[in-house]
Amino acid sequence: MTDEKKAIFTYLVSKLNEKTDQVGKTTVQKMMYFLKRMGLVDYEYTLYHYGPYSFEVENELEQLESSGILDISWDPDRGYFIRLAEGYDLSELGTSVKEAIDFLVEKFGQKRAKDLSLIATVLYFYGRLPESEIIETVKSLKPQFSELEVRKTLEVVKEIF
Amino acid sequence: MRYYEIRDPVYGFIRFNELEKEIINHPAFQRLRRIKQLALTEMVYPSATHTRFEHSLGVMHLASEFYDTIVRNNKNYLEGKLHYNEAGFERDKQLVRLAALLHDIGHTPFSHVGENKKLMKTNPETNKPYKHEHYSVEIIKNVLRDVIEKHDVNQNYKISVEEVAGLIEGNEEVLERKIFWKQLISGQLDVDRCDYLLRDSHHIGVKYGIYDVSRLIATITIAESPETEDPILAIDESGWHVAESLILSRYYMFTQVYFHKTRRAYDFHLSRALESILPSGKFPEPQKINEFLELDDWIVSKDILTSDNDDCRRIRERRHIRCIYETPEVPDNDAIERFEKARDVLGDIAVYEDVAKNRWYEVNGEGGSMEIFIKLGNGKLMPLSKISRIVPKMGEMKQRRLYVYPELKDEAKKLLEKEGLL
Repeated sequence: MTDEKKAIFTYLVSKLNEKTDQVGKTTVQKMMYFLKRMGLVDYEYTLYHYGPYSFEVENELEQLESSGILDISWDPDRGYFIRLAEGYDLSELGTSVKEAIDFLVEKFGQKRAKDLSLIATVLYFYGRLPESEIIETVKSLKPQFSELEVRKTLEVVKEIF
Repeated sequence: MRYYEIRDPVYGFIRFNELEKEIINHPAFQRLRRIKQLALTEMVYPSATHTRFEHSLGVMHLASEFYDTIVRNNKNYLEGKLHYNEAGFERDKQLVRLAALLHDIGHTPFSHVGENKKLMKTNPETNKPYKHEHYSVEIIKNVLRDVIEKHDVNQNYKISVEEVAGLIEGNEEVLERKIFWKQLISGQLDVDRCDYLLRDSHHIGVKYGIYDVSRLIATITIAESPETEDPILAIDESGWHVAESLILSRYYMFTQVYFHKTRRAYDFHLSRALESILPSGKFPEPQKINEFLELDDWIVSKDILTSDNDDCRRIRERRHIRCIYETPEVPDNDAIERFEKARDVLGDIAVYEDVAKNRWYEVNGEGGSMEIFIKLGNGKLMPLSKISRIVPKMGEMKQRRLYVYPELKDEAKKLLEKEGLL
């Protein structure tokens, strides 16, 4: 894992923890996907029903945990809690990535993992499918969301990405 | 509908229907008989000569077993959450079986050895080398379209090739609720790995990949992710020991077979041999699928047998590079320093440096987690690493090795001995 990627993960986790009381693996996965779509990371993603998912990102999280940089705990009622390990100092990060993370955390940092999963799924198809097909497709993959919710999410995605 | 049976050394018999029979008999699938599962591993383990053909049948069989248990034990949940009915269950079982059967149909000759950035062209969409899944999808959508979509058996199901491909790679827009089953094809509990651990062990003659597959089939289930409330695959609490042994099997097979020092030496030679044999040094891109399908182990081996290329000759004569120096599986700083010193001392004599990087728990060579979720009696989820006392201690493997040509082995040894490194 490169130092730059280490810096991206640690900065993201640290900023997210300032904004919300639970930073789970889903949140990190989806935030990294947003960064990918902004052209700032190059992890490969594939789509599951829980949204875009990267085996590479999962792997990086485990490496950071085993290196003692991230603390990853589990609550059976709520899922993962990822925090920066005590005493770990953040390293330098390029301005453009830093600004993008600040922006994403400000915009989405308080969203539930479930909602991030919807945003990332809509984003996954944004640019791949005509807009008219995105809503139907996402509704068919994530029937727990209403058409209105998917429509609103598409507007958010269009505004940001 | 007529059913057929075929002998299988792992499961006894594998049953398939007329549609599956037609696919199996198609030349694109028969090609898998000529692609060995483990490339030149037979240079170390002589009986490692099994092929992607039988593995693909095994994956279909296991996918079916998993599917049946999941549906049987979670029927109400699937009916309520994903609105399944009997016809839906039956149709999607066929879909899952087809995706499992065809998941490896796009493999290059000598399986994963061919799948590296030197030999694969770059996918302009990802800016990364193509993977065998891209070829599988191309074959399913183009070569097998009529075989699948026009078959009598499929007239009740109306399964499209896009759906089959979608469970392997891309085309997610057509999957709807069926995307849930993608976890069975690739994921931490996918049927691909569950099959090859058992099959490779059987053929090689090792016991490292053996785990209690019957128990795994009996305990696979669905639970909801507390983070997203989405259904995910899990193992019932009563089967958590089999989940643990699956992880151990992966680890042992990696250290004893897949990362065996001589096997890796042959991967090195084979990769370079393929580079010299293939026109322009690379496999044709997936769009040239008919050209790609003409390549298999037999065709490539003919060139290996006759080529003057040094790597081809070394494969023929079993004069492979030798591992002269290696670190422990998990090297400490001192071991890394010594390794780096050995590399400096050997200089150009060290022709290959091999690094083990997490591969033992990767999914499709892309990284991934060793985590498997356990569904507790109260329905809640717990990662295996929080229950098992062994799994959390199984960190990443970072073994490094240096190789030299056999004719330079003595010289290399002396150089290392002189520096007190051996």
